[in-house]
Amino acid sequence: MSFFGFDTTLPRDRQQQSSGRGMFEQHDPFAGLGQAEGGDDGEMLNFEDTYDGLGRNLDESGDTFNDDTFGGDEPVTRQSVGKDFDFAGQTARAMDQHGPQYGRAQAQHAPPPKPTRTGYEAYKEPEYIPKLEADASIWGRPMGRKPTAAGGEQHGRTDSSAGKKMMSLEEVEAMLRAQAKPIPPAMSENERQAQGLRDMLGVASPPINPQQQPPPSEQPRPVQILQRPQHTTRPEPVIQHPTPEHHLGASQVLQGRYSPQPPRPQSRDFHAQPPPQHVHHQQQPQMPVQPPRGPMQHLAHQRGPSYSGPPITQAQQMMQMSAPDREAYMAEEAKRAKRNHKIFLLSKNNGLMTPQDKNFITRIQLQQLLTATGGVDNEPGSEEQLAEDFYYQVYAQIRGPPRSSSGNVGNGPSQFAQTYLFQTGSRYGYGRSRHHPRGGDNHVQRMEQQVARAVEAAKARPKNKQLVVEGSLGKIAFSNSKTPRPLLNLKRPDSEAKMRQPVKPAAVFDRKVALRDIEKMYTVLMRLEDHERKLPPPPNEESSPEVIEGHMRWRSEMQLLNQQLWEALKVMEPIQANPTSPHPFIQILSHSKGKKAIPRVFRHLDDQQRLTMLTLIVIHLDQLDVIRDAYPSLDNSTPLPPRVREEIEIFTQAVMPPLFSYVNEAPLNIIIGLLGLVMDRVHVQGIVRTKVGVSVLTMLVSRAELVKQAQQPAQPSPQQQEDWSQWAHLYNRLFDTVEPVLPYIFPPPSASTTTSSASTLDSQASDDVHVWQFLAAMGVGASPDQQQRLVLGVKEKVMETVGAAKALPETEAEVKDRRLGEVNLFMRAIGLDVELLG
Amino acid sequence: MADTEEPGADPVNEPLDLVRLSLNETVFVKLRGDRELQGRLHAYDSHCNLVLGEVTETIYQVAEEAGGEDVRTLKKQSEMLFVRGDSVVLISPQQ
Repeated sequence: MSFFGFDTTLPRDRQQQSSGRGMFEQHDPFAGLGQAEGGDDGEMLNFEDTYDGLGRNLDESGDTFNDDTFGGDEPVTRQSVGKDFDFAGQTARAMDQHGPQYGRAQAQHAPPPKPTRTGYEAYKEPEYIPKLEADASIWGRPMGRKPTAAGGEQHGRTDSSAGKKMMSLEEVEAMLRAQAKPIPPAMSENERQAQGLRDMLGVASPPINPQQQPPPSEQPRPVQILQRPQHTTRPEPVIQHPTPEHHLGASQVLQGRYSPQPPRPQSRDFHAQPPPQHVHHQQQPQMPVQPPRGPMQHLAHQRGPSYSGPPITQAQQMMQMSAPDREAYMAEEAKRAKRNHKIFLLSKNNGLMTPQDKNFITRIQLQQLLTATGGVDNEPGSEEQLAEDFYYQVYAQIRGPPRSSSGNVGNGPSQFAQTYLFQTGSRYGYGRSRHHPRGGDNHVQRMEQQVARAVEAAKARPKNKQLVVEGSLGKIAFSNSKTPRPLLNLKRPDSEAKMRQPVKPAAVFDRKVALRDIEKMYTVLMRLEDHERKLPPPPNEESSPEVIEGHMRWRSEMQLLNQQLWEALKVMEPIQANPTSPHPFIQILSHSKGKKAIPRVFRHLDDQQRLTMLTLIVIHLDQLDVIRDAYPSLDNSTPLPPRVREEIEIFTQAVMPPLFSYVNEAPLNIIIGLLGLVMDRVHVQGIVRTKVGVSVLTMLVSRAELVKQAQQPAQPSPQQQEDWSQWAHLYNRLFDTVEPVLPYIFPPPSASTTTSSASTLDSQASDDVHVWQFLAAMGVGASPDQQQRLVLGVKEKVMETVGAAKALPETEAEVKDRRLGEVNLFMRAIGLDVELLG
Repeated sequence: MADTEEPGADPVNEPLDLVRLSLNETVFVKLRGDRELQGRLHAYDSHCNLVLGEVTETIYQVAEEAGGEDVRTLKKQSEMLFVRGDSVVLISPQQ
């Protein structure tokens, strides 16, 4: 007999014990592990095998009076509490005489001695307090091994666990299932008994009644307390509905009367043990089984909802199930086990943090979020916020306007919260939506509220950076990471007034001045672009006055910035008659970053400004670095330096397209005016030998031709007729100017020129396409006489190019086609085709 | 961005702003450890960290020889280079 789960039986007793095993033993799921498969089915895990025997070496000398104190070796539940009142002292003494042997034998072979004892004691002494012990016979095991069933698990973990390693939930379940099948009959004995009793009673589901639970403080019967709680609930229906006519009722009533303690299940079982009941519960299998199974649901585990059948606590029930049912049940069980394991894994750290802890962390995070995004000190959409969080702001704009119709780009706290909690929200939403659809929402809502509150609190902070406490002499200055407390308060000098002074007189050409101009222009340009991003939604009829006013403010600001940009461009600087240095705008254009700014600037200029800019460029065409530095050498042999070529490339890619798009929509008189300026102020014979110069001329001439063709069918007005005659005159002038240099307008061979014809042609292909375009533009508008002269001028080049292209091997077919196509551009313009050349 | 409060003002307010004028221009950078760089300045910051493009790096090595000292130069080409500011000695526009 031991409290600590040691097997106190001696090896010699173990033989008997194994033969006298009861259902409880069978029920032990853990035992199955230690058991050899299909071997000795009665043998549980052999304790002796795992026990190192140290306990035997203990000094047992001090326990001489143990028997006196604890009532001998008999089960604890059998100790004679009321020895003084025990008038059946004879029996007790006789029992004592039997000594430990009796106790153990009684424990192992309970059925034989039991009937005599119970009948005798209970009926002989009316004042006898029934010993509501758990009789070992019911369990068929020595009581001493029971305390380890402490968990009171449904599955009846018993003593044998002491010698075993801990098992995971899955292992236990798997073993349970494995064990449930082979030995169901023995295992279900207990169950059958209970079921039989209920069957006989015809009692409906036994509701669990907490009051009926026995107080756990009963010291004489700790073992009972430690027993499976399901048994404590099971008898309750009997107690609640005492049915006198039932034979069981008698003992129950009796027990209830005599016992000062609440009736214990074991004791009832013990009393129910007499033969008549035994018979009944043997008969049980013939009785209808179905009714009692329903009630059992209350006793069982709460199972997953998908298994519709009655919950199963005993293997016997499983046996009664049909195969598919069992199959489903097994699958369900497995799923449940898996889920339980997962829950276990997930909940490993559950409860580590208190709600206060979580709140605290959340608050820290929110605070950081607010600080990281510039927070509330900055107006939404303001410069500061944009500077703090530029990429997010731009991204938000790209993604679309805010959902609500408020005028501002940023909608303050709520949008902020939504944005930054978006991911968190979705995560919780996903994870919980299956089981608690509203849980996630609530969480996000809570977070949003918290953010809103945090923002409010931050706003409530004093806005000004100083606080003057009344009555005090000093001031308290606030500082944070964004705006550190100023230690020095220096008045910023009026930088504009100071800086302007030295710059003005030094109007001489200076590279640094140009660079400064460019930086200034970029500064204004970026401000303008920033401002453009802040475009408020267009006001409509319902707009509030504030919105309209804001829009007006935005427009006036835009206008101001535009004016500043225009000034920064220096286009309107006076053109000197005899310039010692290029015009400032032309200087800006002489840097690649200046060129790159043009398409960005061009968007913001109105038509008049564009025309002015174009005019300025046209007037100073020969001063542009891309023309000035691009004149080919006299002998047409040395290629342009790579730096110049690069600049030309940038110019044609950055500056030409906006100019071209403007010219493409310009009326004829503007073209005439521009071309006239070119003719008057620029050395055309020079610029026509440069790529940019040719491109500008092509641009103007081709636009004029297009306008002319579009207007052809209509009846020309006097104004138009005047324009046309003017244009014709201008064209003739241009033709006469260009004609002498026609043989030289083709660019020199590029730097990569080699003797290999293929590579030469290839690299030249992109080099002289603009020349062919120019020739084509000229050819379209030319009179037959002029066409003749045109062909004569470039005849050599045409023949050479066509010949070289046709000599190309088939592998270079692509280059060949392109070359011929370029020549054809011109040939077709004058009504010819390369094919005609044979 | 250096000059947001004074839109029309001169963009050069402090010494480092002079480097800004050389943005996208070819610059000459002298580094510690007898190295020189020549390349297009793409970006810089207040620590003189630089991003240069199309860089030619020149390394001067003094080799001890029997007859005296011999300075050898080693040239490297890089398409793009990040220069940590603590090694920069001077930045000069190159023209």
